[in-house]
Amino acid sequence: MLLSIALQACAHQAADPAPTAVAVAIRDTPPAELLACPQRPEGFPLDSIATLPKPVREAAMRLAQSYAEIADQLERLIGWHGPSCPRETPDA
Amino acid sequence: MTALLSLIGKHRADLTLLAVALAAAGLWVAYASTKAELTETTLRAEQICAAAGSAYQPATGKPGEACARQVTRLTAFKSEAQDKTNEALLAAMHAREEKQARDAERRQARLESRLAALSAMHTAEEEVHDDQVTGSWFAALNRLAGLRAPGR
Repeated sequence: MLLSIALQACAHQAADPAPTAVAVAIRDTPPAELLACPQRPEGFPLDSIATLPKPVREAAMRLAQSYAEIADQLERLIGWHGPSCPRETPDA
Repeated sequence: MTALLSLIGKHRADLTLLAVALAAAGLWVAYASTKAELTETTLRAEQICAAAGSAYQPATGKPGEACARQVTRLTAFKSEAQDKTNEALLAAMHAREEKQARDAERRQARLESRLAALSAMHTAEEEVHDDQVTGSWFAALNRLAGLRAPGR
């Protein structure tokens, strides 16, 4: 949360100056577009059989892990600013 | 001694006049210095009141009355503003703590879920023979990446 100091002008006035907070809260929510939950794409088909050499499988696993970490981090960031993203639980 | 007394007796009237004149001069000096002090004090009061955004001697009312009210108002304003500022800061601090706790919970849950997916992936990987991957391996990969199951 950001705080901004807004000094009320102490004017030469006869009327009572209404006491206000010097530090006021400012909502600095990012635009809605930035807070849109990431859409998880559909995964690999389960009824296929493929021949994948070990290095290729390892690269695919690295990508998958990295994707999950980034998506999780993004969803946490979105949750920090507002309502949390609905948790999709992909089937094992 | 007698000579001195007779001298005083002879000049009594002159001496009385001298004493009265001295007293008058003393009084005049006291009056003048008091007046100077009063002028200076009034000037200071006017400066102080002007600094507080008021006037010491306004067109109506007793001197200093409006100014004293203004100073009281300013003091109250300052303390109330300070209180509200503290409240705002405290609320912000609490809000942040809550957010942090919520995020820590979420982070932990996701970490656990990713670790479970990774362990399932390792299991699936162990079951691969001759580089042939099947549905169970793809399912583990989908889960590891957090992808939706296909065909849904």
